Amino acid sequence: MKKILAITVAVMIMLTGCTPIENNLDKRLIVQGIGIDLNSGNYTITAMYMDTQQPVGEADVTSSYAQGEGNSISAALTDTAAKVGKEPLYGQCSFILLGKGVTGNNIKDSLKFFTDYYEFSPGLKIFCSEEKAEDIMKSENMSDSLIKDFCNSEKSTGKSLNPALYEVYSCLAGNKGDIAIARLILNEKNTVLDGAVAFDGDKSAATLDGSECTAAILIRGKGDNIWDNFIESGKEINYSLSGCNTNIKLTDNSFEIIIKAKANLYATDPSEDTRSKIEARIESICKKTIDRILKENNCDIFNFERELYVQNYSVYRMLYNPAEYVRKSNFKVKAEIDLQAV
Amino acid sequence: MMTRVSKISSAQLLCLFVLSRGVLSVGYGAFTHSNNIQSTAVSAILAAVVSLLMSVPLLRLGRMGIHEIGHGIGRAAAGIYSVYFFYIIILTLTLFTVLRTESSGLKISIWILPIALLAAAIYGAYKGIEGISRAGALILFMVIAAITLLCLGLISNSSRLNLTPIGALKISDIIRESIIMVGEQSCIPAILFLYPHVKGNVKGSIIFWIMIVFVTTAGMAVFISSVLGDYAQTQSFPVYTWARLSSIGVIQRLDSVFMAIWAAGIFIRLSLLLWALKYSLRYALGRKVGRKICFGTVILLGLAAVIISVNAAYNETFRRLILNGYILAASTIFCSVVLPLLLLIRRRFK
Repeated sequence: MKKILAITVAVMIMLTGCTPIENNLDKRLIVQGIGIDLNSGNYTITAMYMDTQQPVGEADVTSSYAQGEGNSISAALTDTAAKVGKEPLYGQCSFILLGKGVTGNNIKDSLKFFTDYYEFSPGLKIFCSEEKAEDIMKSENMSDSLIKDFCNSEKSTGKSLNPALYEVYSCLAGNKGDIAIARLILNEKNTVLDGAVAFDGDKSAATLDGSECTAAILIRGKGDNIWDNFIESGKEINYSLSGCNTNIKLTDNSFEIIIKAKANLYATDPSEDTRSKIEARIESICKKTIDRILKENNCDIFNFERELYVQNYSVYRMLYNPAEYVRKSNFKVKAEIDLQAV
Repeated sequence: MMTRVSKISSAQLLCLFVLSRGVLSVGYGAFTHSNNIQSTAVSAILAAVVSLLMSVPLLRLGRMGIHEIGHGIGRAAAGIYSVYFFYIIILTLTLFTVLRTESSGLKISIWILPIALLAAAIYGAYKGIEGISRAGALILFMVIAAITLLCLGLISNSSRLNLTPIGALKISDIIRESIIMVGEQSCIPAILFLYPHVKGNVKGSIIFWIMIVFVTTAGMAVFISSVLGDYAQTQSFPVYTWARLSSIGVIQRLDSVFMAIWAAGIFIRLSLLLWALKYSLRYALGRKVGRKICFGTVILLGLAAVIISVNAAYNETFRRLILNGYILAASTIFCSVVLPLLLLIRRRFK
C-alpha cells in the first residue's frame, strides 16, 4: 500500500509539467536568436522567435520577428517581449548577432547581460556584421536551420570562426589575446557567411577571408575538417585537412609553429611534389595571416600571448606590455602533412 | 540511553560523508569571490592536511565513547554541537535556496522546495542512520554517473591554454580557499555522534574520505578551469555554469539532470545533519526529556532554518553573514578541535 501511494504521489508530481495553461508553448515567445544594433546609446533588438501558431509538419519550424528598443540590452529585450505580448523564453536561443554600432564599439558591455541571465546558455554562438542586424535577421533566406549550418561552419568547412558566448567573454575578460567572430553579410537580400571579424580588445579591427580563417584554425590546432583548393603551376590541387595538431615552441623572441595534419586529396595525384606544395601553401597562408592580422592590425586571435603566459610565465610576468612583445616577435611556420589515400 | 544501536558499515560512512561534503562544492562561489577557481586545486592540498589533523581529536574522543557528553558540563558541549548543526542546516538550506533562485526560473513559491526538502530530510532523520546511508550510497552512485556524463560531454571543450600557471595564482586566494574548504568539512564534528553507529574501521574511512574529497575537488577545479578559462571569474556559480555547457549529441542542457541529483545530495546532507542534531539535543537536554520532545524540537528548528534561509536569499547582509567562509571555518575548527580537546583534557583530569 505504501509503495502504491509513493508511486501515485511521484506520478502526480511529474505530470504537472504543462500546467498551468500560461506555460503552454503557444503562449510563450520562444526566442531562437537575437540581433543587436546600437545607435547613439540606444539598443535595438530584433528577436527571431518560433512561430508556434503555425502547424508543424515535416518542414522547418517557421520563424517570426519582433523588435524593441531601450537604453540597455535588458530594457530592449523587455520592450521586444512587451510588443508581442508573450512571456519570453530564452532557453532555446542559439545565437546572438552583433550588428551595426555594436561591433565597432564595446562588445563586452553588450554581451554582459547574456552572461548573467540564467536562461541564456553560455554555449550560444556569436556572429557579427557591419550591416544592421535587423536587415540580416529579416533577410529572405534567414531561418533557424541556416543559422545552425553557420554555427557549424568552423568544423564543417574551416572557412569561418565560430566562438561561443563563453569563449568570447572569456577572451574579453582575460585580456590575454583577442577574439575573432564569424561575419555575416547581405548578398542580394540573402544572408551569407563571409569569413570573420578580428577584434582588438572589444572593438572590431580587421576582417578575415576564408583562407585567413583556415590559417587561424590551423595555428590554434583545432582543424577537424578544412577544405581548400589552389592552383600551382597550372594544376589545381583539391584537398581536405583533418586531425590537425599544432605545437608552438617558444624561444627568445620567437614562436616556432609546427602544424601537423592529415590531407585527403580529390582529383589530385598523390605525390611527394603535391605534399610539399600543400605544405608550402599552408605555411604561406599562415605567415601572411600572422603578418596582416597580428603585426598590421594588432589582433592576437592565434592565442600567442596565451601560449607565452602558459608556457613561460616567468618571462611573461616580467613584460611591461606582453601584447607588444608578441607582436614584435618572429614567427616561423612549418607544416608537416601526411597524405591519406582516398 | 540503553537502546539498540543501529549500525552502518565504514564503507557506508564513507559514501555518506563523500556525498554530504561533495554537494557543498557545487556552490563554489557562494562563500567567496575568489578570482580563480584553479587556486582551489592548490588549496585542496593544504585543506587536506588540516582536515586530517582536525579529525584526530574527535576520532580519539569517539573511540573512548561519547558518554562523556551525556552528563555534567559535557551536556553544555552537546548543546554547542546542537547549535553548530543548526547553523550548518541553515547554511545548507541558504546555499540551496540561493543557487536555485539565481540559476533557475521555477515559477513556484520560493518556500515550496526548501520545505519539501526539509520534510523529506526530517523523515530520513526519523528513519535513522541506516536508512540515510543506504539512500546516500544510491544517490552517490547517481552523482558519480552524472558527473562522469558531464565530464565526457565537456572533454572536447577543455584546453590547456585556459589554465593559469601555478606561479600566477595569488597566495591570498589560495589561503582564503583553504580556510573555506576547511570550514566546509562540517561532517567532521558529526563523527562524534556517528562513531558508536559505525562498525569497522572508522579511522580508515575518515582518512580515505578526506583523500577522495580533496583529490576530486582538485581534479574538478583544474578541469572546470580548462573548460571555462577566464569566463569562470565572471560567474557567481562557476560549477553550475560548467554544467550548463554540457551536451552529448542531441541531448543538451544537462544541467537540469545535474541540479536534480544535486538536490538529492542536499537531501542526504540535511538528513545527516538533522540526525546529528537530534542526537546532540538528546545529550544536551538529558535523560528526563523524552525522545518525542527531542524530535519535535528538531522539527521546529528545521522550520526555523527554512524561514531564516529563505529570508537570507533576499537579504544581502544576512546572506553574507550566513555564507561567511571565515565564520564557518572558525565554528568548524572550534567544534572539531577545541571542544573535543577540552573534553579529552577534562576526562584525563577526572
